[in-house]
Amino acid sequence: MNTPRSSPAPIRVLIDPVTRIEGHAKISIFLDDAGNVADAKFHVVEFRGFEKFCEGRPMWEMPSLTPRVCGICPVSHLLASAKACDAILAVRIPAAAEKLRRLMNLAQIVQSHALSFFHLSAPDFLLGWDRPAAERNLFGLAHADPELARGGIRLRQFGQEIIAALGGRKIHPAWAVPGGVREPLTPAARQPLEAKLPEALAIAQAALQRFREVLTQHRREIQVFGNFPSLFLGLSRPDGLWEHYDGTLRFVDAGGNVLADDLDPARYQDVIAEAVEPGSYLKSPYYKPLGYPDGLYRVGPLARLNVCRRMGSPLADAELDRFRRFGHGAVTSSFLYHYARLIEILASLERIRELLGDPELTSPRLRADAGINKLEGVGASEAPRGTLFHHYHVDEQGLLQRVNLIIATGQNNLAMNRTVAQIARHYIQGASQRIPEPLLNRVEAGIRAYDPCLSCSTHAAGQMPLQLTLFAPSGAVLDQVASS
Amino acid sequence: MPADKPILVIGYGNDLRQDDAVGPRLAQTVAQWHLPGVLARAVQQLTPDLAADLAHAQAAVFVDAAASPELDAVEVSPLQPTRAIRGLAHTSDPAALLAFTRLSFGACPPAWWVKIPAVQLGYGEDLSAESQTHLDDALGQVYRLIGRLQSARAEPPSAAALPAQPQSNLDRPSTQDPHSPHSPPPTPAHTAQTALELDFTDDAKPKTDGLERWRQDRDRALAATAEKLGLPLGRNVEVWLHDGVRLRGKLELCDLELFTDTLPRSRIGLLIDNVPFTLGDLESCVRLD
Repeated sequence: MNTPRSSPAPIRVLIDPVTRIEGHAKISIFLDDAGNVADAKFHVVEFRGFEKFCEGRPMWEMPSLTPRVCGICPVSHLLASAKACDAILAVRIPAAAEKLRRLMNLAQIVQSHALSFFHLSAPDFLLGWDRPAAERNLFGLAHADPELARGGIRLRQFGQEIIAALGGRKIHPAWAVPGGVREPLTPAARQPLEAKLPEALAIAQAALQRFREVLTQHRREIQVFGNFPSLFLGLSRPDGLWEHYDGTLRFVDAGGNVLADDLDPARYQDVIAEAVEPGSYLKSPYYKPLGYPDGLYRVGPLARLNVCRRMGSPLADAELDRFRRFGHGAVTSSFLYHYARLIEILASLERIRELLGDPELTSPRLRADAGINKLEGVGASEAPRGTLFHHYHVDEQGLLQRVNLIIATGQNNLAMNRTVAQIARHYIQGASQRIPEPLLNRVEAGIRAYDPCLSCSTHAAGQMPLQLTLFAPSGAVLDQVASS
Repeated sequence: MPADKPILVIGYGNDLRQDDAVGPRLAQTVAQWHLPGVLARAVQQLTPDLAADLAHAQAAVFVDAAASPELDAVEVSPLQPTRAIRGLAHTSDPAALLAFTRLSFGACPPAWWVKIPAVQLGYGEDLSAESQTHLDDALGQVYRLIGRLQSARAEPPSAAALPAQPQSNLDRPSTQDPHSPHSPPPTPAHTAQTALELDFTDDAKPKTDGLERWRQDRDRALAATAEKLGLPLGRNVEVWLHDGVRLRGKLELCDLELFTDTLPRSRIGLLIDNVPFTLGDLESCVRLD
């Protein structure tokens, strides 16, 4: 649609729906009087309301209920929920249970990252940004590089098989419970996983090599796709090694300087506040000391690699050294989320190898029993897309009075807006009333770099199509395109 | 067909949306039968990961709920990989998944699509009464299809191995039938032939008699169908399909059509060396022997 205008005026570009992400979304781009990009907004137009309808439920149900938030990362919600319940019980879970939870979280990172990299994003940068959408998809990838497509499938299967071996099912396992876990890993289940590990490692290494080769063709995207200074948040541990399950909160800035460290996740509200913007159900958390919106921070693979000192495993550490050449202090391009994702897959597989050899995984001592000992609990863990917080208030009977979920995609909301604006500024320069051809694909890909999960962050079902609309300052729609 | 490759039954749908759960329910029941050489997967949607399983399957049976006013009975039809490739999104398209399997792994199995009429798709875990009845019917049809595929695995595929058309109610397992697939599953030691023999209710005769009688019925039904279609079934032929594909080999009928007299002629499924196509795809057929 193209509505003519008589004089230069600010314009809004709306991309709706955004495709190959988890959930529904649209993007608006606002132009100023000179026709340059003034601002951009990523809107999430679906609402699920998990936080509200969990109220009144027994706390004990939460590790079963909250994985239903998402079919991609149910394990993340399972673990954060179980940890919040551990805090309410005021127990320290058995060592074997923690190792088993860690194993499942690593498997979750592998399967989710494999989906994001191989199935959702690789078609863009391996097949070419300007290929027709009908070819720039998983089919196109399978046609152009069947080995890579197969590798993605096998890697995802490997992660899912670990989840199924522990939780009895690949999706929505109700296995972690308040105080620990239900079942150990049986020796019979462990053996086939050990047998498949070498193939998974080989796939991850081959994908990294392939990605490094194509990176030289995407210098512009590295510069334009969300390359700006910001803070980064992730869980950290005292030895500075990459952490995914527990530990304390650490913020670093674009120079790699530690801004805040050793923060108890239970006190996240001291440093994180949540803003609500009109036109979107996605909340916008920010770093409180810097205020809104200057307190923009990023979470997820890029942030975790910027927050940690080392990965803690040889193959991943060698890759981290190469990765860090892309930054000065911290790596700031959101395009490199993809690179970080692959490194995390490698690190996860190395840690899985280590864990599978641990005899304690078969221990029968898996659960600490206790009643309601505190009326409030926070559980934080690293979901594939970033730090996840579950915060529950209960009454004396353990019935939930209040629930707050801070999801990775929400924490990246401000960064996604800024990424869209940066990409749009590059492709819309002066007096344009139309959406330029390359913009839609690149804006979509810019968003996809964050691997947003709207099911999680709005607590959305169905199709996930992107609509991009161009708005004049008067609010008139000047142009609109949609991907199918 | 290779004996070590499983028959894969994939039931898909949302188990919280009433009748949409009918596909997964069917797969769960098939899993409980513990039939040797049969893998059943109950999934919410068809995801690319299933390609790895499909690539190593002897045959695939996709089971889905279909909310179409034109569909008032269980429909079973051969399924071919899609030619129009549009990607795999959140929509579940088994033909697209087959095409993806072929692209990624170099091959995909012969496949069938079982569509079960759905009437209620609101929130809830219970099937409507209509859907429950259709589920019973679909279980019977899938049960027989598995049996025939297993027979084809035990013996080299030939026209004589194609099944007969047992349309009596005795042949249809249901929830009330003590021999139904809902009843306690056979042990893994049971063979495919044992499973097929469950279809027979004439207990006065030795089971081998029943099997022999079933084979004779099957041969007669095949001959009748071949005559009706005017095709040289069971013979070596060369066929040309409308899209330019040429196939040589033994012409066989996709056995399902033996059960569906009302199926439009153009949708009758045929096979040459396990490559499925429909009568509507057929441009010419020349007998070579």
